[in-house]
Amino acid sequence: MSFYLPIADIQINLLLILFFGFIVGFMSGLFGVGGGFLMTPLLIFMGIPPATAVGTESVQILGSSVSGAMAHGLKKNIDYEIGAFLLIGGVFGSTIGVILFNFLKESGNIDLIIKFLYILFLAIIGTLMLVESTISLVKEKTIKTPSKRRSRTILDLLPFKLKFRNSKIFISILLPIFVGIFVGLLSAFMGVGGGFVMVPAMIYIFKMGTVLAIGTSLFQIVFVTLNVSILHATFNYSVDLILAIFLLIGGVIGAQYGSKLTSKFKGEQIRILLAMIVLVVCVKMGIELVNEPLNNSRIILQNV
Amino acid sequence: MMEKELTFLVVLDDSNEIFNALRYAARRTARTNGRVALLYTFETLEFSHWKAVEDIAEIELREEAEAKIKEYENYILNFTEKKPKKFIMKGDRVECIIKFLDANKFISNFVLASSPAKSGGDPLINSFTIKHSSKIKVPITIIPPTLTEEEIDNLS
Repeated sequence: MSFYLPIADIQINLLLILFFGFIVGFMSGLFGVGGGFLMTPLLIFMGIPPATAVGTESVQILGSSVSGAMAHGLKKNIDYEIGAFLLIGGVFGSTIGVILFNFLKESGNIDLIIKFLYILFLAIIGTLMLVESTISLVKEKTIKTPSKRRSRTILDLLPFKLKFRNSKIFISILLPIFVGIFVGLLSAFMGVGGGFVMVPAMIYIFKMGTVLAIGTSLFQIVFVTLNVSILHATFNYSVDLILAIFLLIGGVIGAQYGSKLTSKFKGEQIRILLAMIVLVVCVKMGIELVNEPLNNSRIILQNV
Repeated sequence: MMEKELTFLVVLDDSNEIFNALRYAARRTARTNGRVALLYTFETLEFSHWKAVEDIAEIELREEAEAKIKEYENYILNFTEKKPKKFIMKGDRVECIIKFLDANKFISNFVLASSPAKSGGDPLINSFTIKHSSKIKVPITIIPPTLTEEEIDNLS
């Protein structure tokens, strides 16, 4: 069942896309992660141009985070005040990101930069996860008090402080705005939701509760990926809706099976497995980057 | 023969009807010189990226559980002088209850409160009267939402 994707400019088997969507959905169900930072590289490995992979993946993240955000909303796990400032930063950051993206696309550097950013981020995240899970596997259940207890830092000196009653915190609104900008940039350049950065930031820097942090981050992700999707589609023509829809279908089905399997594993095993997959994807991306000239010549041939 | 102390189990949730179950259990045990057992279950939060986030979440949820169960204990103490036995378990509610009843044979009655006309019925009542009824070995008391406080007092 071969199909020509007009935006991605590639002939591809749709069953293969469904299958990839299923695999990544399965993994995100199993690992309980969004999956953007696995899906975008996978699309790039399939031969989809990196810019299209990023734009399309943001649509998929949007689709898959809506239901999660709604579920958290019903359980009142969203702090809309913090969420609003994260969103202001997020919309600003992602808009700047897409404009920069467009500029780099025009100058022909975007594919290289996306691959480079992925190598950097996957290496950092994969290593941190591996270290963290190995330590806790060796130590095996030491009950420790969390190190997030209040201590005054330089961040408390920032101006524009506001009391957020829902989260019971008193912080400068600059903090959520800056975090939002950073995550918005990530979202525009890498096609990820950014929960893996935002949630720890909210817990360790804002000192929010974990449940509210996760719910609020999903709320922000929905609107920022919506902004990114629209902007990528209109400015960069880098959203392939057919690709996104098939990925979503495969992803939804895969996630059902993945989440059923989660309880069969211990948390530690799952985390180490995920860390290893992240590192493998990172290495593969490194190889792709080295092989860059070959890919370029293929694209040139197609355009002729 | 010395009489065994009867223990009435109430599984806590955030509903308003739970107070019907608590009231019934407290009155009933006060009259029979028994004791109330409170079980609070919570589900862990999954955030697979970072272990540290999950650890903090569990500590927070456990603290919250302890505060909540304390609140319900105070309500029980309005009716009886005997302090209730308190239990906190982590995991799926239904599975926790099955495990709990299996491990704690001293429970003599499991008190549930039904809520007014919810489509599909109460999930706990459904699972223990139909799906998992063969997995537990205690009688179940269901307090309907139609009873007033005085009626509950009279019936216990």
